[in-house]
Amino acid sequence: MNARTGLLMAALLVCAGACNSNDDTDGGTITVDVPRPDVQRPDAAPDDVTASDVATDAAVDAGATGDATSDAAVDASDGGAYVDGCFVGTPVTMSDFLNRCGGAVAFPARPARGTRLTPDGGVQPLPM
Amino acid sequence: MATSKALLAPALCASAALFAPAAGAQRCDDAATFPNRVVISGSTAIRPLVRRVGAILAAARGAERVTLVYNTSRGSCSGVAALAGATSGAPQAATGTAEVYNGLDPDHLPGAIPTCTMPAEGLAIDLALSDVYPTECAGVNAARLRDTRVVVLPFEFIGPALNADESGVDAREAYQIYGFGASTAGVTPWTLDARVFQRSASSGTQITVARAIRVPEGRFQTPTSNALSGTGDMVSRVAAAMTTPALGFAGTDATNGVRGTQLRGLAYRHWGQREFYYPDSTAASFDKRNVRDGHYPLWGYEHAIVVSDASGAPVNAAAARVADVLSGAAPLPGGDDIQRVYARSYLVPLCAMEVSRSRDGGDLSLEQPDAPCPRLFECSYPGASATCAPCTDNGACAGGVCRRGVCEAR
Repeated sequence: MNARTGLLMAALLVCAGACNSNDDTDGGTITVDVPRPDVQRPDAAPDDVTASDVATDAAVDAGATGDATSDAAVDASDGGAYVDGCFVGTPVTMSDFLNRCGGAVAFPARPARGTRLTPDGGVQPLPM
Repeated sequence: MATSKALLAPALCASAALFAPAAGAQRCDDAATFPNRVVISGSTAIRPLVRRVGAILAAARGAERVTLVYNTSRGSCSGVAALAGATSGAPQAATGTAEVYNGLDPDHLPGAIPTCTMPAEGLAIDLALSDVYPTECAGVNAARLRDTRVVVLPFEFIGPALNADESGVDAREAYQIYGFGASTAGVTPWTLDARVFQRSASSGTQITVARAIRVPEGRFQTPTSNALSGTGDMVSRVAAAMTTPALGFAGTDATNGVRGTQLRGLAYRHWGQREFYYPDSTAASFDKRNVRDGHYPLWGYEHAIVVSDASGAPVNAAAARVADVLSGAAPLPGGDDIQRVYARSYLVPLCAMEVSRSRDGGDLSLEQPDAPCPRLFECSYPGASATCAPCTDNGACAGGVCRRGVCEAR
């Protein structure tokens, strides 16, 4: 078993004990939520804000592991895993790159602000 | 407060001078004064780099000498459209004035750059610089254009140096501010419409930011007077807000050099991203670490575009050579390395990137350049703490590779 496989197995075990596959707001745990927003709509138009974006960013604001939580997915096909909210392994999706472990973070995350946020942390459609 | 303003005022004047060309008396088509002329139009975001390279090319001797004539009255897509017009029999000439760089020191450029005056009929554009792929420009037929990606240009949201109310902006916040208008969006501290700035729908900078924040580039909501014609205007207007919160965006080659004196670069959190990241590892460094490894997605490729014939060969050899110099395919006269020039200009050489993308705002992929240069970059950017002992062969590199005079890991 190589290191990556070992990590994957550990993450799977943690997930099996602590995760609800539909719960992506349980901060501090590893959860599973697919599909991922950036994979679901790779060709999204600039003004397309998808439902999964909303869920994803709501998770960010909830102080959970955010997209990393929603993507706290242990996906063997990607050859990597989300651990404590950041991605370990070879990144494949946009979310993997953005939330890769080891980045030089600017400052502690804070909730997004604004009057056009929806209660679930998403954003309202643009005015026509 | 008054003291701060007094200190900043000279800096703002210097900024205005930096971006303001000197009035030109020479005609741009004077071949004796401006030999081997290549007329450039398009991006203004990359202006500091063009000035530096223009001075190097103007100082070269013999056939290597090229006079860049840089018409800065257009944005990326306007420049590309003007160049592409030549392929459909409807060329648009560069008119007005243009910057020229004869006799300038590339490392000590003056505040006021000399200009020349275009002939009344204008001059045909030979090379377009664009912050976005030509195919992103509405209405442009890119079939006869040779597009070369030359360097990575990071962009950042910016505020005035003297205001520290907020250090980062979330993609959803930028979406609200630019999609609904600042006063409607209510994203503190950027709630004054008069203090939020944009470029235009044909600006490559704006297109890149638009793709990221998912607001169409033609639907940014700011007062009309806050739609700025160039990067220089953006820097000046945001800096002029002084202690008041203000928000704009520009390329790092224009913002990094005035960081702390005029501007503050803001961290950014993308859609679905957990944390905020600067382009660099800290607010004070210039290492572009988060751009290079994929944590910071606000960047695009700078493109050098020339017209080609039916066989794909460039129709203007001098313009093609400038594009080749910019891409590193042809040597930079004088012995400097264009990749080092990029690093010193707050840009990221393609060979220093760990990620790539195939379209503006598109998803990232892992990148393994054929001839990687991360070490060269890390000992060349402004303020770099790393030093690179020069090498001449692989034997000095402990299992690595001696490339461009520096030991790289592979």
